[in-house]
Amino acid sequence: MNVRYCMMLLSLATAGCYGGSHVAGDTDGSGETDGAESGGESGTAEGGDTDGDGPQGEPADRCDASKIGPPLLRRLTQTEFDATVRVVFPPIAGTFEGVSVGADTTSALGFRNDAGSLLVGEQTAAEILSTAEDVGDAVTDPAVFASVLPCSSEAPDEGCARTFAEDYGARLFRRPLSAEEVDRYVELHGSVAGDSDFATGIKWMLVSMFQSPHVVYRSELGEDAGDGTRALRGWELATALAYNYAGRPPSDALRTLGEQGALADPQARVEQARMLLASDAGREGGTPVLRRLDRLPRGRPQDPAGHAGVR
Amino acid sequence: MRMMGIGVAAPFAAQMASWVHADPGDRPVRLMIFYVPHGWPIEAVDPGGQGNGFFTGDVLSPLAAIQDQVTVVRGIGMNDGATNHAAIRTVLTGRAEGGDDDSVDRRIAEALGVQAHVLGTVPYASFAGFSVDSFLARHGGAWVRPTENPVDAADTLLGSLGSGADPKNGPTDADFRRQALALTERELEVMHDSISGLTSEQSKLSIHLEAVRALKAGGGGGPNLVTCDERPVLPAVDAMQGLDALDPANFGRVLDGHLEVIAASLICGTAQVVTLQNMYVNGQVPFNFAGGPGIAKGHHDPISHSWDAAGRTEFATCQRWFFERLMEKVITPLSTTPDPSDSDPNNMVLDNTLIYVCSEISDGANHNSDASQVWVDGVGYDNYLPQVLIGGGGGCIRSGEIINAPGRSNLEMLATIGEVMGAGGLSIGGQTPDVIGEVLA
Repeated sequence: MNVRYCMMLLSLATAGCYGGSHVAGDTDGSGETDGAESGGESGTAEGGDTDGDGPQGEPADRCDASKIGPPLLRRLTQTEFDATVRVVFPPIAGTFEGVSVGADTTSALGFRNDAGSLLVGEQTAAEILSTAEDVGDAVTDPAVFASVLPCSSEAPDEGCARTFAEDYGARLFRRPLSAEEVDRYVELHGSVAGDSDFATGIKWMLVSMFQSPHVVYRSELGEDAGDGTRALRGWELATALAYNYAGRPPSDALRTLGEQGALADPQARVEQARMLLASDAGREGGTPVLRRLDRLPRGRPQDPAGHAGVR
Repeated sequence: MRMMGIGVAAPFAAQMASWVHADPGDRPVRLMIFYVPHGWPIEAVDPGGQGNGFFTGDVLSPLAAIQDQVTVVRGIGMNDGATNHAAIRTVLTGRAEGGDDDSVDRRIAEALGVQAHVLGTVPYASFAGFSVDSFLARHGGAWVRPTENPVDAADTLLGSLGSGADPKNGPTDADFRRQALALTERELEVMHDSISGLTSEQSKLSIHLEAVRALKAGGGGGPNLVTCDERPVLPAVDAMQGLDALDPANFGRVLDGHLEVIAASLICGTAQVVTLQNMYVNGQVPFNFAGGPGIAKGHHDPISHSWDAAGRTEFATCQRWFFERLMEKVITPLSTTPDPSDSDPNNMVLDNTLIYVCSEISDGANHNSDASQVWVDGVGYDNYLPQVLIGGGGGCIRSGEIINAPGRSNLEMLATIGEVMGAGGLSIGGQTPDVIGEVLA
């Protein structure tokens, strides 16, 4: 356990090798599992922790040896959806009855966060929609609505709807929304509210937001680094750290660090990972990464070939 | 008119509203797929090994009373080399690992313009999730986890009865939902187009996009044959209120609840294509649950893996139990209820229904999925995939026949079922499989 914990923290230093490496890779250093995605079309580079002992030396020195994975979209797991609702909307955290998203598919290796298995087919899309409507109802319940969106009681107008889209959109998307995105949501609000009322408009704006692929998937797509590789963006690093080490979306502070580029520094990522592991969420739930790694059959860490499909 | 005999049948008579009279020769057909895990012990199915003793054998004996409505197809093996546990993904797709197409239930439902439902008596451990080796049906490019609880199944399959139409004028939640989904659809399209070159991720988004489009369009088709005004009384479903459908101790209750829902929805016409998945390939449910056969051992191992006579007898008892429940909860009500959607009052719902019983394994202990010989106590038996057709299939089935189809595959059976259901010429895996003509009337 301690060995594995240590391996993950150390290998965080390789995370994304921001600005120079291929995208995603071992962004969390966790061996997070999406085996079905390995060998993606972007081509993978091997190297790094092939002896099962974990990378050695200073974190900043290990980028060249890190394993590189394909660009990915990771669908949120059932528990990640649930945590997202509770973290983004604290006023309903205590009363929310849980997401409608069903049990995640367990991969052949026994993992439930396999990016290749977690698809959004009709069943899951319907469950996400149902969850979105439940969240929309809960958030716009008169008992909590003013605490979620104070301007709704003072000036329930387009500006207030825009505030909701910008503030809660950023928390749900784990990044700031573009002006165009905000405009689209405000337009939806106007259309619905015009046929109902302000709160109903917010509900359906939120329903649409919650179903957005920008919420449903954790992006590890990165961006073209200009040298034939892709690099994770700051907000993608913040998102990966938060979900991998605390099972929840990034705090405003962590997201800001990502947006400012502060997570480009491997040491900064190690520090954030340690903080997340020490947080209530990291302690209470155990870390998802640790739990999942612990399910690997014993002996596999000594068997690099056995790890080939595990990322 | 024959009167209904038992169980859930009685409430239907009073609740049938308008009988939808179809044109002569255009009989409405329903499809129920009944998956039973891990094969059967062939010596308890086909005792003489010659195909002439099915209803004296232990496993299919519950069907003896309606054997003129039962067709057993001998000699079928799994297509595409699929075998063992992974063959579950071939059962309804006809292709190893499921190929690239949706499962046949979905294909048929699309042809009929209705929704395909998947229910499941699948007591998986919630902490472990639903294993990738447990999926039977695939819809819209994604494998489907069955609806576990009969209470939820009843809401889905029968919830529309008695609710009445929304009398409000002007925009409703449905309109707002469509607007919200339209925005989601647009975002998916943009994201999909923005990642050209990342094939696997684009495929992921394509499946998601089609799912959202289906939701926006209203969920993939509605029932065609609705003939009830109110939801029937469903005692086994009511008994599941507040119970955990994933608790193996409730296995019998869950199965009965699902079977009630299916019978009611087929009779009332709120569902036309329903699959019931009983367990999965490694289902270790102890068969001493309430209402069960009273065998306190795991179904998969040791029960289905038994080679010794005592163990195989237990396996036969367990598999027979599935047919007993099917007989009592579905076949009997369907066989005694005149089809309210048929212009001929002499036709019962079962006459216009095809119940397809199937499995991924031929012999549980032998663990094969092909048609081959298995030796039990020194006697060789021709062994093959369980393939039992029950009901008249709208007059398209040669009912009451034992059909020998050596060398034929389950893919061809799926094509044959498509033919019966009005979805002939299904292209599966880029080819149009032959139908098994001997099955057709």
